[in-house]
Amino acid sequence: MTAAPLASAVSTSPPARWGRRFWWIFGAVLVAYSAQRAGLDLGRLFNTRGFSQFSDFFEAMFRPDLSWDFVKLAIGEAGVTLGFAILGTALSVLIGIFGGVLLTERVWLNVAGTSGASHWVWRTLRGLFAIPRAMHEVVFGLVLVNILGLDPLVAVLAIGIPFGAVTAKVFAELLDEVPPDAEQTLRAAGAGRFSALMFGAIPHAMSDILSYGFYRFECAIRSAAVLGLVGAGGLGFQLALSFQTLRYNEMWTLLWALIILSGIADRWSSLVRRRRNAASVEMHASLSTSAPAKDPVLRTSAVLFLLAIPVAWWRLDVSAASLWSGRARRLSTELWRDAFPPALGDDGWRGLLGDTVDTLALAVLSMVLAWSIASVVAFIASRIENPWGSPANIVRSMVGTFTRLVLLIARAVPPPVWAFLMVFILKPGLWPGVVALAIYNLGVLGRLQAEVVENLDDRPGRALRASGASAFGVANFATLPAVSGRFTALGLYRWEVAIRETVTLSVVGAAGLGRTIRDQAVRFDYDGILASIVALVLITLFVDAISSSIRRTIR
Amino acid sequence: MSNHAVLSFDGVSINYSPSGPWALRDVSFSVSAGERVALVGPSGAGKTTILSAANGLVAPTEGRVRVHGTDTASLGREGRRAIGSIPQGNALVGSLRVAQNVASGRLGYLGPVETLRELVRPRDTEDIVAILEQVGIPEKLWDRADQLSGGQQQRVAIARTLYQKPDLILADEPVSALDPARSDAVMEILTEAVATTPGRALVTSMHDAPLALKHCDRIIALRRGEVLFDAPSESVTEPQLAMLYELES
Amino acid sequence: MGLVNFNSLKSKPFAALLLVLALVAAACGSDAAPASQSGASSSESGGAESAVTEINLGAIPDQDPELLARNYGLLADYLTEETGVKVNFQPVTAYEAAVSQFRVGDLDLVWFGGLTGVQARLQVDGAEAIAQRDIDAEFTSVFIASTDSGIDPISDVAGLEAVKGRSFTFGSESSTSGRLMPQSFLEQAGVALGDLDGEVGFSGAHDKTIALVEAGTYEVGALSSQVWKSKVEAGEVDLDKVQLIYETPTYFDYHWVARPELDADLQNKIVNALAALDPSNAEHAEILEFFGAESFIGTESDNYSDIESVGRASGLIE
Repeated sequence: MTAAPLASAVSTSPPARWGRRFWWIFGAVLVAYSAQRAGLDLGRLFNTRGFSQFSDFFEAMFRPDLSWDFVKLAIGEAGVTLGFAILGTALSVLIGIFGGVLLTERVWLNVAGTSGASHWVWRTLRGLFAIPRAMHEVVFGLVLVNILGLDPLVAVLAIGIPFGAVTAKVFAELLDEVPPDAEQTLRAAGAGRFSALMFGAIPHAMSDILSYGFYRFECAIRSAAVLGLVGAGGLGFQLALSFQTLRYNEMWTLLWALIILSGIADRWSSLVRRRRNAASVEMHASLSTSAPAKDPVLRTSAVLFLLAIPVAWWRLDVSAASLWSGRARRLSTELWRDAFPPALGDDGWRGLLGDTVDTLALAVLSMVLAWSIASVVAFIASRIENPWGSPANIVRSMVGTFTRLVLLIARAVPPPVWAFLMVFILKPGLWPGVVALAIYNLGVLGRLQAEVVENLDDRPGRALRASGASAFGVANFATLPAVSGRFTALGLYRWEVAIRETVTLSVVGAAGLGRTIRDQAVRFDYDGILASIVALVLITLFVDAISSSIRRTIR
Repeated sequence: MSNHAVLSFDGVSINYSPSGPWALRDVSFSVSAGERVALVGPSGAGKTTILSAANGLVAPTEGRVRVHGTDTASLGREGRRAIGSIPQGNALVGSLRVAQNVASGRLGYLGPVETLRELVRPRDTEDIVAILEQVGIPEKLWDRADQLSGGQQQRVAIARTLYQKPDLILADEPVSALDPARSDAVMEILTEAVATTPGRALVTSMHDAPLALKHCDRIIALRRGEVLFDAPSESVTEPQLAMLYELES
Repeated sequence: MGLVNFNSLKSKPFAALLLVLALVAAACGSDAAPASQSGASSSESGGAESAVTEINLGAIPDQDPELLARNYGLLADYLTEETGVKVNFQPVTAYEAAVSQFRVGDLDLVWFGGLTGVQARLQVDGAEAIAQRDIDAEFTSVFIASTDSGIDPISDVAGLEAVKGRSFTFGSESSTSGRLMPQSFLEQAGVALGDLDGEVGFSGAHDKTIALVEAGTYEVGALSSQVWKSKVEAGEVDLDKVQLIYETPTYFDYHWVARPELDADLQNKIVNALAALDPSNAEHAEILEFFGAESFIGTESDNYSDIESVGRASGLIE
């Protein structure tokens, strides 16, 4: 071979990727430690005696309470949940647009493109927006109910504020990706920084912004249900009532209503997003690749959504005035006085640290579980081209439809309900919480990952098949490498979300900060709650930082 | 080398849906070893359909397509190993390294265990480097495919096909995304690959008339699914080809 | 890949959207209105002497929500009639949520448990316990154990020592009969929560405690004797799997607590109306039966000082 001397110039073994190795080891250690923390004694894991109660719940699935009164109630409550989701989303988009503009780096640059002191304003703002992002809707609900009392605004704000903070971050990233030329021209011509952005960048990113809003709407339905469960009204609230006395038939009437509602919202959201698949939306990745300039479905949906806002506002009898009422002011100062400074519980730092580590372990284990299963299920759940093309296709698409229904149920049933069911068949401890959160996230991840599969570029696979590769070869050399990066990134994003979600798992034995906050809430130990919330925010920011640094390394 | 055609089309008609228009209409030609054939014609003329049919990815509605005398309808894995295709837009797996992308050209020969081993680390690295040298980018061996420029990706796609060592190379617009200088270089690599390996033939679709005339020895011009003319490059003039593109646009 | 699907589905989003709008509209038609701030009228007044136009009555459900809504509806109508002030009923899911809503003034009159009633009074200056059921002066909890656990029935508080080293669940965290008093009796028997097997559980509700002990998830549990008895009578407990091991001494539990905005006169009217509920009147009987009581009687905050000290001892009241 004449090329031999040159060939020796290139190393025949791949360069070591230390960053990647480091994260692999880090991940393995984290999972092992978490499993050890949760307990690995299999003999103490399962409780076989409770299986009949566990299956009772699922048998009731086919026997929901269909008495007209109860169905009427379920429909009405579904409307309330929907209303919360609509108004919550509307608020989050509003916060998102204004916040997004403020968080855009360009806005803080001079016309010449240099940054001065205003750079620090930008930094500070970004830091401020990270805090509500790290707090779960339920935490907001807990705080707001003490200020606003029995007010539908509690649910609207509890959804709108944290979602708004996330949305602002995504919008800022979208705006940063818009080519700066138009905006610079306007600023060079003397336009102010905000008006230049308004005319030069926002119209460009608008369709992506709206698409993302619809993705948030889909999440808002699930959030509204969970908020209801902790007392905010709607389907979740009725669910909690029926749940207390274990009326499974009633629960299933409400759950089916929730399943239908979120099924419609999910489908609508993915239709609006069309080729912008959920995965890229969830990951806030660049969305613009295939955004049509004028998308009739998006436009119609946006108009209908706008129309639904006043309907929901009027229907829920929302009044923004209660925000400025003397009572709200008085109660919020009282609450602040009670809660500040945050205080440690009887167990001090050690107790808080232990709870925090438990929370981390809970999120790690549940995500590893959910992600591994979802990575397989995604291929079964994905929609195929030409579903009626052949008998094999028909069977495949029927299995797919069934799998998607199972995933829908998994994410429509709120995590606390899953957790309680798990306590029937698992011994109390971290595991029931782990499995509950895993099932719920399997529902979310399975769907997102199935969309990754659906949007997979099939040309590499076709090319390999054409050159004689076996199905196994195609799977390993084309399909898996193409999806694995996105799958992993999705798993890491959900891990960040899962940390927040642990707070909903105060039920039986699911330990961690959620349990602690619940204990403190019962004692009205506001300064203790504040300490727990601070711990939760810190651990969430920590996980966010790790997750984004892993994503940078492995991308 | 045997004297039978590497690729032959025999009265091939294809329509994608029963009611739709013909994508190909009664096309017949055959390509022998050593030939470099350019398929030219405006968009929608049927170039890609011919390449897909030659690949056995699209079955002819009428007529027969044969590779080495075997009907593509009954093409097994063994038969496919002889066909190397460079699809439009190169179809690399972006998250894999160049080495694995090149190695994937030989998947047709590998069982499951060997497939996994190749995925972890390609065995025949020296051979891969040698082929990457042919296409001019040996130093990219361990780079991720999606971090390469468009031209470099196209070279990797060609390297993958060369590593496969096929008798028939099918290339769909291999240079459409490249600037003129790079286009020339890439076509040079492809024609070299045919010239230096006995028994090999190239069929490529092209948009660029001068480039087709320069690098291929035979032109098949298509229009609306039919063969307009099929002639040696020497007998075709540039204006003739240029007109062909203008016909439908 | 997806493009094909989407094109064929182009008309569907509109159908879906109409459906969504229809759902919103349907919600408007039903009368399942969510809680609104409409009842806050009394709390904004600030002064106790100003006229109260509405009373928001709240309750923590540990019963069938349908029955709850119906019976509290009956009670609210009855009280409206008797007091001449409009009474609205508002269910609340969790004990501490009821306390918060009482604190901020969205609920004026609440049917609290022993502990939550004390917590609520301590958070609202001038709030008073005004009435209770006949049975609330002599309320008890029961300890139940799964038959597999091999724990035999116990005769006195000291016998609760048998729970040591067992897994154990309470009901809701701030339930008096499902948590506070059982915990206090365990401590009297020398059993600290740390002496139990694993972390103590909080099932969330009395019914759930029974279900979890029946399932064997926890070996022992504690709950309100009232719920236990009614479930046993209704044949909803599998006595082969779970058995009663101990019934505690009596203590004060549930009671009505009123905010100071309801003036003495109005409070008297309410107490009198409650006390006037008569089992021989069919409609009254339904309400009384729902509360599991023969009658309501007046009460005073001092009756709950024991609960308060137990609460302080266990850290539930600070």
